[in-house]
Parts: sequence; C-alpha cells; structure tokens
Amino acid sequence: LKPFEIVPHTSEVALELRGRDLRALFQNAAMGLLALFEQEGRVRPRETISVRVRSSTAESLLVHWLSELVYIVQTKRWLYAKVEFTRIQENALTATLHGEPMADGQTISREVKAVTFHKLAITRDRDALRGYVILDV
Amino acid sequence: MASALFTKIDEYRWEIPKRGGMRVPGLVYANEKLLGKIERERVAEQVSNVACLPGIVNYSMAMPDAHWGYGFPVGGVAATDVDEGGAISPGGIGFDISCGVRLLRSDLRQADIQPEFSKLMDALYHAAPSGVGVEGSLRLREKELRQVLEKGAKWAIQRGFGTNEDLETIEDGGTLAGADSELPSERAVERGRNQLGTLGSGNHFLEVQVVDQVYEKGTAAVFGLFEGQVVVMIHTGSRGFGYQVCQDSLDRMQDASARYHYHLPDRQLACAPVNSSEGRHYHASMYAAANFARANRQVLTHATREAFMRTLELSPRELGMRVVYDVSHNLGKIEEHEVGGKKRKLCVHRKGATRAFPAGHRDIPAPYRDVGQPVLLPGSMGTHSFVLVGTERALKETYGTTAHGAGRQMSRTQALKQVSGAELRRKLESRGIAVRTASLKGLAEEAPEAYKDVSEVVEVCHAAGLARKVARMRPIGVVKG
Repeated sequence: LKPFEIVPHTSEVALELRGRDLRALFQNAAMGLLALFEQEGRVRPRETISVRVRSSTAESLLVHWLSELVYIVQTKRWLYAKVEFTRIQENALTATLHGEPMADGQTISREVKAVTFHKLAITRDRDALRGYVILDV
Repeated sequence: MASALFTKIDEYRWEIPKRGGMRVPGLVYANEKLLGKIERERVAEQVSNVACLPGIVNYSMAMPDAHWGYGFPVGGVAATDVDEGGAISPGGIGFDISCGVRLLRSDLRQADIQPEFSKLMDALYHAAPSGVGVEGSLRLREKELRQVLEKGAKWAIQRGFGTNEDLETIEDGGTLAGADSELPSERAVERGRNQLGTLGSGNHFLEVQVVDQVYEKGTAAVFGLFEGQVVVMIHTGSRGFGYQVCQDSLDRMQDASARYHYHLPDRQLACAPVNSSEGRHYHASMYAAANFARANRQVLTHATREAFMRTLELSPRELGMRVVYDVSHNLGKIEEHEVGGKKRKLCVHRKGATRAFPAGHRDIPAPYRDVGQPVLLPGSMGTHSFVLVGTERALKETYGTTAHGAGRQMSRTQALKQVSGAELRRKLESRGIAVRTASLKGLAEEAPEAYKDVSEVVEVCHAAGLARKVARMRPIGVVKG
C-alpha cells in the first residue's frame, strides 16, 4: 500500500493517507505535503524545529499538523527532510522536524493556501489507518 | 433534462427540493448544458449542505459557473437572517478572502502600445510579482500592516500608490468599515506582511486587454469604456494573510458549532451566529483581510500605471488610466434585502460569486448610480472577459449576485496531462497573446480547456436577468502567477 496518494479535485487537491498507526499516518501526511509542494532539491537535516499541536480530535489534529507545516515551509521558508514524533495521541502531538532553511537550488513550485475540513476523515481499515484531507491550492 | 436532483422552474432555474436537514430548497442558475456539468461536479450535494446553515433564507443558490469546492460550492450564494440567529460561516467565503477583480481603463488603443508592447509586458511582469510565495518590494512593519487592515485601498492612496479619485469607483470606497486590525493572529500578519503588491500563483493574473465589442454603448460610456480601447484587468486577493485568517477562524468555528449544537453535514461549514462573539470575531477579521486585498489591488494598480508611463513615455493625463471598478467575489457582507415582503438584515455569503446591484442602489458609487454596478467577469486565460451591469431582477432573486467567471471543469492534474505549458504558450502567442509567467507548469494548469466557456456563463447570466452584458474584452498580454 502506498503511504500517500495525491488525488485531483476540480479546483483543489486531496491527500489520501495510509499508516499502521497515528504516528505513521501523520508521518505520511508530512511527506505527502512535501510531494504536493513539488519540492525539489536535496534537503539536509542540519537544523531542527520543534512542533507542538493540540486539538480535540484526531481529524482536526491532522488539519492543525498540516497547517503548521504549510506555515513553516511557505512563510518561514524552511524545508524538512525527516520528521520524528516524540509524542503523538489523538488530541496532541510533539514532533521534531529535521531540515534546513530554503536555499538556492531548493524550490517549491506549488502554493498550498490552507487545509480544509471538507470530507476530512481518519478511519480504521482492518489493521491500518486511512486518512483523507483536502487542501486548497 | 431528466434529472432526479433538479426540478425545472424555467430554462435557467433549477430547484433542488428540500430534504433531510435542508432548511430551504436549493436553486441552481444554468442552462441545460451547464447544468450537466454542474451535476457531474456534485454541486447539488454542496448546495444541499449549505441549505442546512442556521438562519438561511429563501434558497441556497449556485451560479452558472458553479463547480465543486469545499463547504460551499465555488459559485455558491447564501444569506442568513442576522436578527433571527443567522450564522456566518468562513467556509462560505473561502480562504482567499476578498479575492476579486479590478479593471483599469485607459485612453490608449492597441496601435498606441504595439511598438513597445514586448517591453511593456516585461515591465508589467516586474511590476506585478507572481509565483509561489512571492514577496513584493514593500516591507511593512506590523504596525503599518495593521493600518492596511483598517484602511484598505485608502492606506495605499495615503502612501502615494494612486489618487483619491481611484477610491470613488472601488466597492465600499476601497475600505470596509468594521474591520478590526487587532484580531488577526500574528501568524496571519507574518504570512501577509511581505506580500502586499503581489499577484501570487494559481488562477491569479494581470491581463492587458482590448475592448472588442460593446453591447450597451451608453452604459459602457459611463464606465469609461469604448471599442478598441486598451484596458488592464487584475485578479488577485488577500494572499497569505487571508488564507491564515480563514484557517484560524475555521478552528474557532469548529468549537463554536459544537457549542451552539449545530448539526452540519460538512465540518467546513462550521459557523456561529453573526451576533455572537465568535461571529463578530470572524466578521471583523474577514473585513480586515478584505481591506488587505483592496490595498493589494491598489498597490498593483499604481505599479501598472508606472509601468505604462515609463515604457510608453506618457504623462498620467495621456495615459488616462482610471479604475473602472474593483469588486470581490469571495466575501460575506451584511446587507439589507427584502425577504417575504419585509426588509431584513442579511449576512450574504458570496463564494465565487459577484455582487451585481442595479441602478439606483445606494451602495453603488455615485458616478454609476444611474446605470448600475459594473460586474467584472474574467474569462479563462486566452479567452474573452466581460463587463456586465447589475439588474433589479438580480437584487430581488439573488441578493444582487451573479457569476464570477468561467469556473473550472478540469482538475489541475488532468489539465497537465492534456496540455504542455510550452505548447500552450506558443499557441497563445500565435494568437497574438503575449505571455509572461513564473511557471510554465502553472500556465498549463490554467489552460482554457480546464475551464467552462465563459461566454456561455455570461449568456446565462444575461438571459436569466442576473446581469446585462455591457462590453467584451479580448486579451493581448497575460502576466500569470
């Protein structure tokens, strides 16, 4: 099974995610987002950024997690190569991003405006989790 | 057309009967051909979802260019009764708050700009920075940005980006009163701070166009338009600032919806009563973003004028570049409308839909009050754009609202499979349309094939009485995000 898939939508785009647990699902969401940004150029894990996100449900936690990454990549212009979760549960996560500030030769060629709640879902499918989230691009 | 979803009212009106949690029926404006596309796009599902909004009156509506969005369909219109607990929903306005269109007229004809046209296009490309996460030349301190949020286009004029005359023909005089500059988060400020005076990416553009057909000569003359004239159309919004205001509000509204015990079929429709602390918070923040968008288009207007004057060595008087109008198509506004024979205070959500007020309406700028509000309908890249004028019928039926453009019919991925950016550029250039873009891929995603036929959308608006055609423009130069 693919960890993530980018699904076209008339005006936006969706990420279809899979993972054996919440940790893997959120990890795949972060990598799916990088693919969506069409990030190019090698990113070295030279620095770290800590991220803490809280929410009321696993679904909205996913929205917050992705919004946080959108902010870091687009506004801070900082790219991650690896994500490590120190703690993750349904309503909160703490993670460390390993990466570096965007430099020459590293680009993103798609703007992600925001993360929507439309048709947002995390469901259990046999022994894995599936996630679905639409992003405004 | 045989459809289980829609009941035909007349050639251009299709009702979606009330069922389930719908508080009102749905109403779609389309001819049979566009309805087919709308049906494939599952717009009916989203129109029905919107019909569940607390306090919604009359109908949940979709304009002829409607397509699938999130929360509301793009092209969705809904009004809620403010004094009867009516709700306001960020999902009914969208992330790009006050995204809109501005049209600039000139005293030039195509022959006047032809000799230096390539240079002019280069100058415009630099004047209107485009592309992913692009920053402008303005670096605002937080305090100054907060002033932008209060004053909108007026801030830009005070900073020397244009003249007071520009404000006379911008929706709301360029400033939405009631914005609270202190409410938007630091993150919103950070995302927006360096983006004032930029186009951005996606479907945003700056086009040099020529008026090639005038349908209502008298109205066109009042708008300052004539056949053969060079005009400039700018399509952009509130950039990262607006996206963040919406994202922050959606979070707050998730909690509010639970607190008010709303049962909504889509979490993107999360909302709160207009008259509640959450509702007021969003409303004042959204207006701040709208002011950012107006200031953005004003700064771009100034840069456009400078590019024209410098390249063509013209004085402001010789150029004659004035603002025809500036209108948002992603906005929620508190307006007074008649419902069931009574005047009501409504919160009108227009998501991918344009206000179209008729002659005599007090909210129309004085110079246009006798003819009606200009409606600016951009086509897809390389196709015609239109100027229309608001009607009495639109005011009665759709709170004075009409379509906002062509409306997508193909995903970006699909467009990329069918069209190459380089090939599209050649094709456009062979038709006499100069292209300047930050991304050939982005160009391909916005290929004309990816959109519905704007002329058909305009014909339906005209025939349904939601606006009247005034003039048509063909593009000769495109700056694309």
